Amino acid sequence: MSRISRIGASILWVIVFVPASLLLSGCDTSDATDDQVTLSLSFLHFVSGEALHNSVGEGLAFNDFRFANAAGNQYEITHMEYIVTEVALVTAQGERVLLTDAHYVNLTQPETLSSPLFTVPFDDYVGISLTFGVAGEENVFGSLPRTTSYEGMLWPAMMGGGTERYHYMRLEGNFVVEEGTRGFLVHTGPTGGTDFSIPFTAPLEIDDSARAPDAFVTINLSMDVNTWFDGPEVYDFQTVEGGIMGNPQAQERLHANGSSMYIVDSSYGIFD
Amino acid sequence: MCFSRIPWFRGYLGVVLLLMLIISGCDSAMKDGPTPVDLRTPDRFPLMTFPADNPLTEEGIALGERLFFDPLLSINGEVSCASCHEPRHAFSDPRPVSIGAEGRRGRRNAMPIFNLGWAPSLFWDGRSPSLEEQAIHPVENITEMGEDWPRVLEKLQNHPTYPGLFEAAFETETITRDQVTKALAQFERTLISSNARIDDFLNGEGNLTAVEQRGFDLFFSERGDCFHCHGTRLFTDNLFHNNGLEAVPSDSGRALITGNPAHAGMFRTPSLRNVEFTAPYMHDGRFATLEAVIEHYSTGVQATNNLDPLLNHGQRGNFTAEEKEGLVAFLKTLSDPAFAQPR
Ligand code: HEC
Ligand code: HEC
Repeated sequence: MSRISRIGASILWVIVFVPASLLLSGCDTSDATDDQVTLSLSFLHFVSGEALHNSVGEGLAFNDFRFANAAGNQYEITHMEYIVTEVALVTAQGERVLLTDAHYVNLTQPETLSSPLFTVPFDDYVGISLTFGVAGEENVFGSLPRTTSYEGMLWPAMMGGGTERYHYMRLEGNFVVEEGTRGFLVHTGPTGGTDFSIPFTAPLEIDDSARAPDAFVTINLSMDVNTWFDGPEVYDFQTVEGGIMGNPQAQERLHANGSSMYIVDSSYGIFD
Repeated sequence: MCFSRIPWFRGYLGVVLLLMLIISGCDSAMKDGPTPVDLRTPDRFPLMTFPADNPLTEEGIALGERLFFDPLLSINGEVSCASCHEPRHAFSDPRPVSIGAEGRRGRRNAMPIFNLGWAPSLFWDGRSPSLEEQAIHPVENITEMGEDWPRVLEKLQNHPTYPGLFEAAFETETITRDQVTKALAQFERTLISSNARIDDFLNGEGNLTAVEQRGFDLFFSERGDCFHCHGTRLFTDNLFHNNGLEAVPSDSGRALITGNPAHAGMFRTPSLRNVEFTAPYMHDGRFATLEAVIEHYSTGVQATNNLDPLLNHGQRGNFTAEEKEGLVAFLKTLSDPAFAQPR
């Protein structure tokens, strides 16, 4: 067979078999081999240990004044959405394996409470890392996907040091006062252009059973809303009236309180 | 036959022929069928998502436009969609509540129709999930067109020109409700308003007057705090809020749909684009002027069970005369006069 006819034949192979095998493999629920791990993130939220919703987002406990924080504010939650970026697994060698550039969470949109499936090489993972919010100069209009969800998080230029940026989190609700109720608006973000995003890491191991081709791992990121309020610096809705987008002290306090905003664990499953 | 005996070019030829077949297959389908339209959305707007089963086509959009202005869809042949959604009012109704076929009055103000390709739900209470689904209702609503669908389809089918237009858009001879609503939805998706002075300003190509700038600064501050609900380049979050119109809501709004009493008096945030042309304001058309709306946000917000937290604190409101003047002037920079034209 001449060299050229061999090229012709291999082109044929590429054109016919590669797409065909891609098509076939696409039908599998998981493409993982035993060198790979399939995993997804699950975002869970609690208040003082009580679940705000179940793992698929049902039973949302919004609009109910049944919560209290360390400052003694009795409150309800009406709105909660936030952004995490640069979500990665960390290997024993300190290498980062990126899972996603950005993920948007909104408690009233159950589909945002879990990530898509990721396939990563099996490795000696020791942790997970992410940024709560968007770090530094990455935080400028247009750096996140141009969906209505991310765009709803825009932070006006006037309060962002002259550049339009994104909120990290909008956590809103009302709390009980003598005359009735008052709103609290926990809007974390780049006040005055300062970077208040929170780098987060937690230990996480992925054990051998995840290598089975039909296995998957769910990484649970559990946040207790009162983490933001209860300490080390007590956050009292009474003393922080109204918005905090122009209030660096409030941002600093939330930044300190939120430094370990998630408890991380994992669970293992098998695709049907 | 052994592969090695095929001269290489013949192997190649086969592939090329195969490719040509595939390409020409697409080609001929395009020539016969309706012409696809690639809708260009404004750069600074978020991405729009399109339903897979109703792609935009030139023929579909043109048909939708014709249907939108045609009173044939109503029981007495007198009311078209445009009767309550007037183009020169940015496709809204200058009457507080609309009056339908045979003089029946509705109970809500007709909303403007533009930039709805970005809306995840429609109506003041969000009861409709898509433009296609929405378009079913006005035809049979007794306070709107008061007709029934089988009769509409019969009128269209027996019409001298409609059957040809439907065939061009959907390649079928029988006209269905599905096609009528798809055509209307296609036309509505093309109603994009994005050429206001504020767009030039935000794109760094124009200026605001000092008064307008004062309004802009307040709108995008936490004391004015309009932007958290009327935000993004769409000037709406398309979500539901109680903005404190009534201590006890006379229209339950969103709660009628979710059944959750915590949603009483919540309505979908309207876009503030073209607000100069869409008076009167709010779901019941209660405010005749923008000045009255600003006065509401300044001093009129009522304490109510589920008042939105954004409006429920002492750091906002009580605007000065200069601030109110600024807000009204700023709202008028959201006007797109070329869009709000008679058609
Ligand atoms: C008699 C007046 C009337 C007629 C005729 C009418 N509408 Fe409406 N339209 C309204 C009113 C009133 C509302 C708001 C009702 C509500 O939210 O409960 C509305 C709402 C809408 C909306 C929702 C907009 C949004 O932002 O959610 C769309 C889209 C719409 N109409 C399209 C149409 C189409 C298409 C037709 C013709 C097939 C039509 N309308 C005919 C009065 C009318
Ligand atoms: C908490 C969310 C929220 C905030 C904050 C807010 N609005 Fe609204 N706005 C709404 C909702 C919801 C409606 C419709 C309410 C209804 O019809 O019952 C509305 C209606 C309006 C309308 C009438 C539009 C129309 O077409 O009928 C104008 C004008 C308006 N708002 C301007 C403002 C301005 C100016 C500010 C800041 C001073 C502001 N809004 C703050 C949610 C909000």
